[in-house]
Amino acid sequence: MLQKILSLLIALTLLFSATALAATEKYTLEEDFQQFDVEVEIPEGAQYKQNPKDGWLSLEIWFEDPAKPSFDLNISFSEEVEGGFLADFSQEDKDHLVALISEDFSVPVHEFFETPSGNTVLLTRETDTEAGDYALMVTVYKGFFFSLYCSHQDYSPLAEEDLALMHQIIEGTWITDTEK
Amino acid sequence: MNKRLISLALATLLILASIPVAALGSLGETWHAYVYTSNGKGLNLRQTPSTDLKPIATIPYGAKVTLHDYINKTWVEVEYGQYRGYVMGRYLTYDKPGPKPTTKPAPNPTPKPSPDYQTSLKQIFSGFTFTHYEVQVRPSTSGGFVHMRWAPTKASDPIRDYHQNDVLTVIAQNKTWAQVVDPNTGITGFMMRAFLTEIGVGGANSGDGSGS
Repeated sequence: MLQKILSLLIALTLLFSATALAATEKYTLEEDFQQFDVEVEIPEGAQYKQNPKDGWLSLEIWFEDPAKPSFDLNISFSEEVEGGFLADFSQEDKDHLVALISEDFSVPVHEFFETPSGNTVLLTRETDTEAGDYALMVTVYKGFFFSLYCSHQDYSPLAEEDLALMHQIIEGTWITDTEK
Repeated sequence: MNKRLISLALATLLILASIPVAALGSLGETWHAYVYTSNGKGLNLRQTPSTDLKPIATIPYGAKVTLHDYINKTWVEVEYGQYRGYVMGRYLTYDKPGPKPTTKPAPNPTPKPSPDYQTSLKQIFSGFTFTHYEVQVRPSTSGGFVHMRWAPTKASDPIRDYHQNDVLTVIAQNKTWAQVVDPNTGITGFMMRAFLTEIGVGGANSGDGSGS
């Protein structure tokens, strides 16, 4: 009897593990960058599409549920930060980046944070309620800008769960160096 | 035979005479642009239109280059001094840039006063003149986003977002803002001119309000 219960418990554990693993889909971006490959963990229930672009990458992520926001992940090389990492930016360079990002915001607030994998990310949020609500996460990796933009279709206010999804996507973006 | 030759010569002369001088001039005309980077750094000149190989030279901020060919939406073939190679087009501007930009920390957000509605409408829509030219969107950071807004003010809701190299048509502008039309959807709105680069001759930030 005890053996049967144990077997059942093990079977149930394996089943739930398999289900959990299956919930997060991983998508490898189609690109021809020499420097790295990029894999993105797509949140459960989300749809996604890589849009063809000339020399840079664009990945759209959205949900059927209109209450959830949509996301745009762009990856693009920049001569201005060639080979650089946001984590290594001087304070002057960080201030400059903040100034650049702020140009298309009305009343932005900024926050630098570190992902579990050690990358520094700049989060910028719009606080002017008359200007709609949107948020942007930016990091620089090997001279490439990684930009994750989040908004509702009508730019209605973003909830904390929406920002949590932003964190989930940026922290679920895995970069594998391929340059020798 | 001679009559035929004379007729042919006359016809050729007539055809050449009808071609506008400007067009003839453009056959030998040289176009220039200037290097502009938001942080004042020099621009890499590359051997091929890609980042696969190391740069062959660095062109200083504000330097003038000779344009040879637009390879695609990203790369332009240029000549600088003894060097000929490729640069990313987003770092070129037709207007000579000012001094190297200096970094100023972004100010802390402060609550906005509530302006008189009629006064503020008059202010934000002032100075617009009609024009018509095509532009490419150029976000402040590579791969970034730019908002098209309902009104020419950052305090206005966005209509939708645009990516680098998206093409729009400018139909009116003042010093800071452009009224733009998306040729794919017909949607019209306002975008800051700082994020727009005119396609072809001239520059989106030419101060006289004309597109050429």
